[in-house]
Parts: sequence; C-alpha cells; structure tokens
Amino acid sequence: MRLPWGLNVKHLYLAFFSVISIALCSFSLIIYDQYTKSQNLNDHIRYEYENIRQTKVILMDMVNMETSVRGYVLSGDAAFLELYEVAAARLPDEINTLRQSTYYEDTAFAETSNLLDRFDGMERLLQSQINYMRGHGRGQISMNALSIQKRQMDELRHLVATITARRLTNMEERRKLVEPRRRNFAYILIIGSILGVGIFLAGTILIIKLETENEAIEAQNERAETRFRAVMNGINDGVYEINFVNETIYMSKEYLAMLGFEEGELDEDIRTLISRIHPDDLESYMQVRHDYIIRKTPTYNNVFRLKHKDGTWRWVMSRGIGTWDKFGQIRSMIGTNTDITEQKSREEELRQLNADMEAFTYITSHDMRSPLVNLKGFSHELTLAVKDIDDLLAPKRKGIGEESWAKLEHILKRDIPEALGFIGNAVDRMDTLTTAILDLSRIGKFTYRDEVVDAQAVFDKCLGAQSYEISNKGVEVKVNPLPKMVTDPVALEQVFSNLLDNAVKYLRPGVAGHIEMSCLETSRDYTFSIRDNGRGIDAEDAERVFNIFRRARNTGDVRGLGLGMAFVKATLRKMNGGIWFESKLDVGTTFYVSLPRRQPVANDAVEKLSGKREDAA
Amino acid sequence: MISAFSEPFTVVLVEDDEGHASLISRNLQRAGVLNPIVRLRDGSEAIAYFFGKSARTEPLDKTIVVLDLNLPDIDGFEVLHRLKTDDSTRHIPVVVLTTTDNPKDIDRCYALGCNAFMIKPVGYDDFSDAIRKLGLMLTTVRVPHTRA
Repeated sequence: MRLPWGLNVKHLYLAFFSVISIALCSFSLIIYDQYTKSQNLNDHIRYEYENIRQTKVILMDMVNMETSVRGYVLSGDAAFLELYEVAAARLPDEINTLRQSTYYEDTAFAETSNLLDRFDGMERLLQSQINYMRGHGRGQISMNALSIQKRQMDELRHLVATITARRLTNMEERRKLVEPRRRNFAYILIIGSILGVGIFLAGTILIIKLETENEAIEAQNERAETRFRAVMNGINDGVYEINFVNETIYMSKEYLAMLGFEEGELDEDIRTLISRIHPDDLESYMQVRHDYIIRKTPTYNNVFRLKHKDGTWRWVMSRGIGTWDKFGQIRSMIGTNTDITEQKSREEELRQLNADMEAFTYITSHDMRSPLVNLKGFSHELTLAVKDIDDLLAPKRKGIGEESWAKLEHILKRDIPEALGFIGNAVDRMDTLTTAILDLSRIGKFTYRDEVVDAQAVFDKCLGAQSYEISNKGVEVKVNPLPKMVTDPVALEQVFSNLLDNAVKYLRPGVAGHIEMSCLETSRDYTFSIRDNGRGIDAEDAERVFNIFRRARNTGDVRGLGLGMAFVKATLRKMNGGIWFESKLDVGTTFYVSLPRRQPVANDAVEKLSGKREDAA
Repeated sequence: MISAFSEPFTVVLVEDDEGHASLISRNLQRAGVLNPIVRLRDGSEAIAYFFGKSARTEPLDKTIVVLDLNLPDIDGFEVLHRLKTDDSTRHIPVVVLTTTDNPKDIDRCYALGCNAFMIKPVGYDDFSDAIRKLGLMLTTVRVPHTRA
C-alpha cells in the first residue's frame, strides 16, 4: 500500500489504534456522565418522596392529636388522650427530622418553622381544651374554640398540600431537565456504536488489505529469491555480506561450496575470510578493498586466491557494493564471488603458449640465422677460393690444354658462381622471412599510446615518403578532408603507408592511376577508405590478401613478400579496428579501415612503456 | 692508468659455432689483425680460462674478448656478468658479437657492462664489414691496464 508524506504502514496502525483508544475513552466518559446524572435524578426523587412522606406523617400525627382530643372531649374518657400524648411527644422530632434532611433548601427552613408553629399552636389549643375539660367536664367546648381548631387544621392541611405540591413540581422540573439527556444518551449510544463498528470494520478491512498485499509481496519476493537462487546456482557464484560494524561475514551456501564447506562449518567472523586468503594475495586484497572503502575507486573488483577445504587454492573474483553511513564510514558490503580458477589456468596456459611463441620467434630470429651466416660466409670464402684457384691456374694454361681449360673456365667462371648465387639468394630470402616473422610477432608487444592525431597530416607524411614513386608513375592522388582523432600516430602511419604503397604498387600498367582517400565519421567510429583504379583483387584471392607471405595471383610482376597487409591486419586488430575491401578485377579496389572513436586519455600509464614502443616501431 | 695500445694483445674468441669462429678469424686477419686468437668453444671453457687455476698463458691486461651470446652451456650473458663483476677481469674490453638483434638483449648486455655490441649480419659483405670494423677498433682501442 502506497502512502503519501513518507508515512508507512506502521504509522497507519499507530494512528488507527490511537483513534480507537481516544474514541473508547471519550465514549466511556460520556456513558459514565449519563449514568451519574440519572443516578442523581433517582436520588433526588427518593429524597423528595421521603420528604413528602415525612410531611404526611407530621400531618397524620396532627390529625391524630386532634381526633384523640375530640374523642376525649366527646366521651370524657381519658383513654382517648393516650394517642394525643404519643403524637404530641414525637411530633417535634418528626418535624426536626424533616428539617434535618431539608436544611439546605431555601424555603424548607421557613416551611418547617411554620409546621413547628402550627404544631405549637395546635398543641396549645388542644391542651387548653383538655385543661378546660378537666375543669368543667365533658361537652363544654365552645363553638368558637372548635371553629378556631377547624381553621387551624384547614391551614395545616393546606400547608402540607402546598409543600407536597412544591416537591412534586421540583421533581417534575428535575425530570424534565434530565429527560433530553436521556434521549441524547440514546443517540450517543447509537452513534457511538455505529462509529465503533465503522472503525473496527475499517480496521479489519485495512488489516485484510495489508495482509493480502503482504502475501503478494511475499510471493513476489519468493519468486525473486527463487530466480536469484536459480541464477546463483546456475553461474556458481557465491554471495557474501561483510558487516564492518560487528565484523562478521555472511557466506551463502554456494560461497561455502566453492571452498568445499557445508553450511555452518565456517565461523561468520571476518577473520575467517582473511585467514583463507593466499598470503601472497593478502596485501593486494587489502589494498583494493581499502581503496573501495575510502571511495578512491568507484567499483569493487578484487581478484585473489582462497584456500579450499582440501588445501588447494581457488582463484576468486569478488565484486560488491558498499553501504556507507552519513559520516562516510563503511557499514557493510554485499556482493558475489566467482570461482575463476579455470579461467586463471587457461590464462596461465595462454601465457605459456605466448612464452613458447616468443621463444620460437627468438629461435627463428637468431638460432636460424647462425647457419645462414655460415652459408653466406663460406659461399664467399668459396668465391675467394675460386678466384685464387683461377689465379694459380692461369700461368699453367698451356700445360693443361685448350679443351680442358675451356671446361675449367666453365666450371670456375660459370657453374660455381651460379651455384653460389643460388645459395646466396636462398639465404637472403630465408633471412627476410625470418625477419618478417620476428617483426610480425613484435606487433603483439607493441604498446599503443593514444593521443590526438591529425589523420590528414599523417596521410600527407605517407604521401611525402612515396612522392618519388607517385610522380614517377604520374598517379593522381585526391585527399578528402580527414579528421583529427585519438589513436596511436605510429600505428596509423604504418596502416596508411601500407595501404597507399599497395595502391600505388598494384596499378595497371599503362593506365593513368587515380587514388582517392576519404573518411566517414559516425558517432562510434571512423571509416577511412582508399580507392584506386588498379588491377583489382580476384574474389578467390580475398582470403590470401591478409595472410602472411601470401599475395594475390595477379601480382607476380611486382616485387613483394606478402607482408604489408598481414601487418596492417595485425596492427588494426590490436587497435580494435577492422579492415575489409571491395574490388573488381581490372576496375579497382577500395580498402576500408575502421577505427573506434576514443576520448583522449592521460599519458601517465603508458609513459613508462615508451622505451619498448620504440623497439617495436 | 690508460695508455695507448701498442703492445701485442690476444683476442679471446668465445664462439660455439665452428663456422663463425673460422669466418671471424679469417676476416680479422684480412682486416690486418694478426694478433694471436684464442678460441674458446663454450661458456664453461671461458669461465675456466679466466677464473680457472691453470691453462692461461696470456696476461689478462693484454686481452680483448669477442663474445657470442648463444652458447650451449653457460650463456654469454652469464660470462659477461662474471667478467664484469670480478675485479681481476673487470677492465678487459668485451665485444659482444652475436646474431640477435633483439633490443632487450642489447640493453641487457650494455647493462651488464659490455663495451660494444655487434650484430652478425647474414649478408657476407655486411658481415666482413662488421668484422673489419671490429679489427679496426681492436687496433686502435685503448685497453685499460689492470692495476698491479
């Protein structure tokens, strides 16, 4: 799942659970608040009812007092007074109880005081009636006293009714105040539930989605891992990761297998690796690694030997990529190790072959020359000897006789010199061939030094060197603009010179020569072409042209050894260039030479080899 | 210490090829070098001649060495090295005369201290010319005398 602002899934989880927690807490608080409110309402209702009941009890006792006194008055029986006395005795307490529980209400104190006054008034009235009864006997209560009593009782009833009504109104108001909250509470519950369910639903969906994505990613990772393993197994490379912080090294199964070990057989300590490196390679290994770690070199490519379990050495090419912290300290390096033992042994083989080849050309160059020195030298000695013989015989010509003399003359002046001449020519040819082989072999050792070269100037120099031949034959040479390029000037001159030489040499006798030099530039290379209207090369000779000591069959009248093009081809191969041609017999030939475009390079690396270069040149 | 070379001197020719040895001798004589020529056939003979206890009759301070490089046992480089590192033979002029024209060999010989390097050309005229020049050099060269 992609998230904006650099958030990741962990942040999302955190936010999600924070929201849930906050919602849950506030929900609980709201519910608790509602609960407390309704609890308060209940308490209040109970309180009001209790006060109403207490008020009723007071009224009842007052009625009891009145009734019992009336009974006494009517009957004269003192037993009726019993109820009066009980009620009168407990009424102050009852009123006080009411006062106690309602003391904080604004009007309650006045009410209870009023009640007490009523009680007081009533008691006094009734007491006076009792006293009167005791003095005057029964039935002697005046109408006036009774009407006062009735009025007092009516007032009391009214007072109690007022109190009760006020309390009931209070209760009703309270209830009205709380009722909307109850409704809100219901809404809050409903909304809260919906929100809760929604959040949980969203959370569940999110988790399911993430889980699905995770599974997909895991599957993808697994596929990638499988591919990676397949490749690693296929190419037999080992993977390693060096951790520079805790100095450990992870080595993959293939890495260990390369050294003949099973998994877990080697310590994952960085010193395990160091200890297995060939002592002769350790210094260079450390140097290369160090250069990469301090970022002196942009890439890590280290070649060294590692000790196999069986004690043999394995050539390993190690490549890797490092990770640095913000202070520029390397933290880890991950990469692959390739077993290049086989390549190395092939390299060694090639080196040996090269050495053999060198030895061979060395032998060719002088060991084969030694006998030639003798052949040539003694041929000459023979010539001198023949001359001596001739000189010695001359005075004795008459004694020998004309016929024998003529024979001797023929032998000494014709046969022997002719034989010596053949020997001499053969020796010369042999010497030329061995020299050519030596020269060709030296192209391989030629160290090329790239610099900016003006191809035009180089070609002009070649023209200058052959100007005698060119003007002698009346050849017309056209030179199109040639580029400035980066290459080896000596090698380029050799190539141009050979091509121009051939073009001039193999013109058709009796046909005015035309030679044209031009160059086609592309973004990758230069293609020079030198076109002539010479005798052309037969398609059957196409292969022979570039072979050493071989020449096209229509060149018999021109002296040559078949070396030039072999040199050119070998030189161009060393310069990463190419050569080919198009030709038609008796029409002309165009040779094409391609050379890669290069950037100018610093000369320091080749400077020290310049001595060698002069030898080969 | 160095004086003009007027006294008769000996040419020590270290050369394994009979033909070459013969040609060199003949040409030296034609060039007018009539000094005695001591012919040594290989490197070990040369070592024995200069560093052995017996066999040598000519004094070392009147000697010039003409040395071939390709010798069957101990090669010319080794002989040159021995001659130029030993105090008793260091002052003897050594002319390397060989078939190789390999620049590396030439450099190596001069590095070892040879006094001249000549290539045996295949062509007879060139060869005899080279020998004649050698002869000319031998008749005019100033040979340093070893310290007594």
